[in-house]
Amino acid sequence: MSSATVILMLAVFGACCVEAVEALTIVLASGTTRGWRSATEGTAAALVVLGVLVGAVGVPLIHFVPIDALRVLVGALLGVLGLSWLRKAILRASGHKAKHDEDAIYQETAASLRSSAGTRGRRDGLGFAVAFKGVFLEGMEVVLIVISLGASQHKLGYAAAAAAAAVVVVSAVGLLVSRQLSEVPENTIKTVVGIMLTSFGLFWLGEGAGVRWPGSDLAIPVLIGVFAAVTAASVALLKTQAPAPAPARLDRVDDGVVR
Amino acid sequence: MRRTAARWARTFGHFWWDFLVGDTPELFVAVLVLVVVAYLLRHDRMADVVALPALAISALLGSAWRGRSRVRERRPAEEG
Repeated sequence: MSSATVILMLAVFGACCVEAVEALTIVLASGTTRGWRSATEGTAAALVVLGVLVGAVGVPLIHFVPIDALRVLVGALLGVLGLSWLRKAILRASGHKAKHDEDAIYQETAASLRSSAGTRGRRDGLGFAVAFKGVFLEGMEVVLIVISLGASQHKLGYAAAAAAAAVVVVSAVGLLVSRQLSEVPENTIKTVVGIMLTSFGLFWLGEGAGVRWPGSDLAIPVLIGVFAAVTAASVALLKTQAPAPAPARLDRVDDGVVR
Repeated sequence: MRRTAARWARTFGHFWWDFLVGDTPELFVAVLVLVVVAYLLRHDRMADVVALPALAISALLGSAWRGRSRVRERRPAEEG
């Protein structure tokens, strides 16, 4: 297994962990307020749809799209995703944006679900929909990362395995502690994954367009080092201008889904 | 049936708009510029290897700076 494959799997695992922690909070809120049957069914249905999407979109991409065009496309997608994750992480680490608070998200989602009339113990449409939507929307970013990273290196299986491992780990920990995972250092993971996605994105975008990076795949760790240094410097610089700490709050809650 | 399909199409379009553009259109534009620059400079080995990371870093710093400015501009109104 090459170093590029290991970095790919780490990037997918980290990204999937972050999204799985966020999805777990919504599923827990749905399960505790509307009943576990609907929450479990909603989660399972979303995971099946996401898995089908990876197979249905990822496999044809690898087989039918010319590799250079594919690399430019996925490089651009990873670039957009990576840069926006990094930007958010820099603003959060430097105190310019409130950090993600799983406890607050859980309370808010649970309160909004409790206010609707329930059918605890039986099949509950709202509980199913909220769990499905939460897992599906949080999982879509993971699907894009799995397909992009997997397809550009023809390692879709490795990428999917890393994503599945993250879901299993987060679900197991969630089951063990039976509550949302507010102690997970989401911002740190998001920063590391953002650096990896941006580096991979830039590398593949260049490769697809015909750029010959010095050292070929070895350029990826170099790019990771460069973006890590830039991120650290940006956080240090923006910290000097940080406003008074703002209370943690939700970015936006839409039917139980936090964006 | 047609209304359901239209609703799904709208949701799908909304998801991609949020994902690609969202509240950071400058990053979307920056990535488009990166693609163009990568094709333009692909035969100039040193230029592209330096230009692509430099452009990406500039976009990231500019966007983070813009985010900081917006927070600072909004804060007095929020407190008021």
